[in-house]
Amino acid sequence: MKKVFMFLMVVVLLFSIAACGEKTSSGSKDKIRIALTAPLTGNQAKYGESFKNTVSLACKQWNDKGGVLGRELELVINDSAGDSAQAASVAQKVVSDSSIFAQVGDFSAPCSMAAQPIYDAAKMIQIAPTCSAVTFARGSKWSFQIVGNQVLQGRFMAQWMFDEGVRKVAMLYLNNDWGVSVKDYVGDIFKELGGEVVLQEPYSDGETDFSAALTKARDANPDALFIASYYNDGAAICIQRANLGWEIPVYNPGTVYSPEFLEIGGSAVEGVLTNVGFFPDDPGPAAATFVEEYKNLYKSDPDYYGACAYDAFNVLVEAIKRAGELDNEKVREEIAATDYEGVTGNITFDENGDALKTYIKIIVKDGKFTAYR
Amino acid sequence: MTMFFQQLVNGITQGGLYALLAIAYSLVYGVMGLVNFSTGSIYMLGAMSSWLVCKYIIESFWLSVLISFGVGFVVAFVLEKIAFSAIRGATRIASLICTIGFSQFINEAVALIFGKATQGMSTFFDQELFAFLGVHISVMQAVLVVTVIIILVALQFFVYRTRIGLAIRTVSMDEKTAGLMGINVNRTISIAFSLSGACAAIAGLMGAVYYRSFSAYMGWMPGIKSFSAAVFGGLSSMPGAILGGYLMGIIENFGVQVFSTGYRDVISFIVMIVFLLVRPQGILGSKKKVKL
Repeated sequence: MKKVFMFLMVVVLLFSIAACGEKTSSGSKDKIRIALTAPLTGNQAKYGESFKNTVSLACKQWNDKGGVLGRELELVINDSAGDSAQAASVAQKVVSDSSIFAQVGDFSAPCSMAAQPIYDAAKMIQIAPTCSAVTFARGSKWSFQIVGNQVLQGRFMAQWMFDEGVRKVAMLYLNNDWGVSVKDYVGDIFKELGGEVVLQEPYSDGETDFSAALTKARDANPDALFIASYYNDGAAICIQRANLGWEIPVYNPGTVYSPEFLEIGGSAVEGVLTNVGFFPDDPGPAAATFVEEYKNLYKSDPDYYGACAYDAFNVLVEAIKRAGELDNEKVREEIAATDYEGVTGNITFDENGDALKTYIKIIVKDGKFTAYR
Repeated sequence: MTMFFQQLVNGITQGGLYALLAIAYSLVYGVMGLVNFSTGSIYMLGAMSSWLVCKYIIESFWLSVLISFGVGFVVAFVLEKIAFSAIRGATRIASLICTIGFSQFINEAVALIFGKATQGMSTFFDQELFAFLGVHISVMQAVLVVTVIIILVALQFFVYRTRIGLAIRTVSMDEKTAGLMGINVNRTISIAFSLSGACAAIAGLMGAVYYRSFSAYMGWMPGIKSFSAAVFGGLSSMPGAILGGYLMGIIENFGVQVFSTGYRDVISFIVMIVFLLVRPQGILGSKKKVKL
């Protein structure tokens, strides 16, 4: 037993010496190393996979062009499993590795925000592509996000409803951090515009029966229904609305933009109005090449979240290129001054580090998402 | 007024699902004096089998009913052999824990195979039956109510008019004496258990069709709710369980109207707890039969 233990110790020692040697070798120092943290396992694995695909593609494209500052780029991919505790420990690992220059990720707001103080203390740039929480980007001068925050999205949706002549809106929302803030921003801005919010009804995660809540909403006699939900609840609510025979315009935030929403909802989600920042069926010139290359490489359509990650990586590398050297202070300033035509639209940042985005209005028509005109 | 009747209709529809599941609890409890906590998972399996039938074989409601019934029956049969027959004579708590474990096993296995995400289900009976003063009743809601009535009547007939039913009632009175009188106790329990599984699976099928979706964890909440509903109505009495199911559905829907959807579960459980403090045996339950 003792011998086996000693043997293992020696093996471990040898490996750690080898690892040290690798780190200091000149070979890897030539590369600019950038960390990507995403939920590669767990419930959000689908999104993590998408992050990994798009960022790997972006990295490959840069290297094909000869890298940046004459050096090759290298991705260090980490798995946060969608768990904020693990996201924090991954962040510790990333900042303790001096060869890593900056960080892209995480996917979800809780994970991005759990990692934020660690990057902040280490003065490492953190671009969280899809963290729409209002408190995120303003939480640290080193933090940026690409997707646009909830105030901006809320204003967009509220303005849209108001422009369509909606004056009274009933809102159903998922009772978690995200749902509550969507409800608050959309509701507050709608009221500022002069509209009236006749009902704000929360529901718990896992709820399947919405007929009572919908009956209550119908009783409040609104002009439109706003649903702050993910795709599965959104589809369920639309189905039960149809069962009640209630004809009313339905608005959803961009979270329902997924093929599953159409598949589950069927005819009941026809006419649902939502928004998205990136639309593979109607791409701009930058997006068109991205969609094509992605399809060639991965044999599937890229999704919106992956597209945000793609832009995040490019914004970062463009900033490194403009800064001309690997100085985190300078690169941070260059990111803040970004004016970049990304695949998710034009990207500039406000003073907090929130991307100022434009959104595309879309409607479900004949069982498909189509641009709304 | 429209709102009142619509909420009543919503409550009755949802209550129908609870009632079907409550019958499943009550059947097992009646014979064995035990609660089968995997009822919710069998509900999910019923939904899953109908989803599979519609997706891969043919979009037929009646074939789905048949398959769901069969799957529920067989799974409950197997469960009874594992969790009860194999360890009969061990403490009751062992069987109880075994049903919880079995439930967890079923849920996770289905989640592994089909994923955790919600899946879409084919549409049946979504036409409107009639609308009166703004109250909408769909064909599906009517089908649900009729199904519950049919199952209830069939079970009453089965339990009170057939030889096996007689055996079930005898075993539920006194297992040992029933055995001494020449009744095959194991077989009787097995039949009651399997029937209960079939009931739960039919409820699952109805749930999948009504909500037009299926997911691996869809059985959890209905399982817990309908157990409470069965206790509320009187676990030892089948009509009591059905009444409990319907009342639970109606109370919840009016609770949402008065308070909010977020408080739905709080309201229904408070009503239940308060009621049970006053009348522990439930609405129609008899006092002396509480064995657990």
